[in-house]
Amino acid sequence: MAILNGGRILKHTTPLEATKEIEGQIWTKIIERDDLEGIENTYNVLSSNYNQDNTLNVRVHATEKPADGFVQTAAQLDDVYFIALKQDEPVMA
Amino acid sequence: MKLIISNLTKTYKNGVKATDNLSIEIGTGMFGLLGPNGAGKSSLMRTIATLQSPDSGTITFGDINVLEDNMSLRKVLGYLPQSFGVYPKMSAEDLLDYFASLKGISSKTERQQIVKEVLEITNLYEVRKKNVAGYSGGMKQRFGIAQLLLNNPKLIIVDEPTAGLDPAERHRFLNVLREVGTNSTVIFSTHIVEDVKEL
Repeated sequence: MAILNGGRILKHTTPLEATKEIEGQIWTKIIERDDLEGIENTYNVLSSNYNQDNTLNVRVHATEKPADGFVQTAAQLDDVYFIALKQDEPVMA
Repeated sequence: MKLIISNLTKTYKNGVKATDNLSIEIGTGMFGLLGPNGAGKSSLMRTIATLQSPDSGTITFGDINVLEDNMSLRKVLGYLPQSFGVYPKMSAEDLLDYFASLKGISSKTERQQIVKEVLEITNLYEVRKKNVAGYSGGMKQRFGIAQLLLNNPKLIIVDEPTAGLDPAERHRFLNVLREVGTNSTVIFSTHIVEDVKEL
């Protein structure tokens, strides 16, 4: 498989290899909705999902535990995809 | 046979770079091209399928120079665009027979045989007498695969085939692609991560 964006190949790999590459680097935390902006400004947030109680599950990419409260979780192909797209975003001056 | 794309660049008149010095090698089997809307997936596929020309770069498939010898590539190509039309009052079987004639299979017996074969591969044999226009989205996509299999293609390009399909149909469709991918190079594009998980 390959991940494509902006007319360029960002990653050419297999799903298995791709997830193995980031194993141990995906962290989750349940946060309050109001805390999302702060978390996004501080950490490399890949995705966030609402829970029924109005809290959010955030998935963060970091080589080490980002902070207390984060729990390491298994890497998924969605993480690989979001990491590739985030790394491709233009850097704001 | 290997598809080799080297330094492919295509910029549209509005300045959008559809492909930006893109290079990749793809071998036999099923290959998923994953990307968001507007990533350049369709442009890349249309270029490989010889439907548009790049500004620069090369594409070879086996010993075919794709950009210089469109016709040789088209003989071994099966292409399914994102959307396609069908004649409203024709059954799948009749329509496939018609397509087989257009693809140069003049023997009726040979046509009947290949039509039966592709209907079976795509799990449409039981509904072959129904009008294709009345098929569900997933069945129509499988019909699209059936028609492209008529000329026994070595390179199959399928553009966003799972968009809009329910999970069961998606699963069924991807299994059909996997089956045809055992002997051919199958490239399919998608923006659904789940579609490429098992490649």
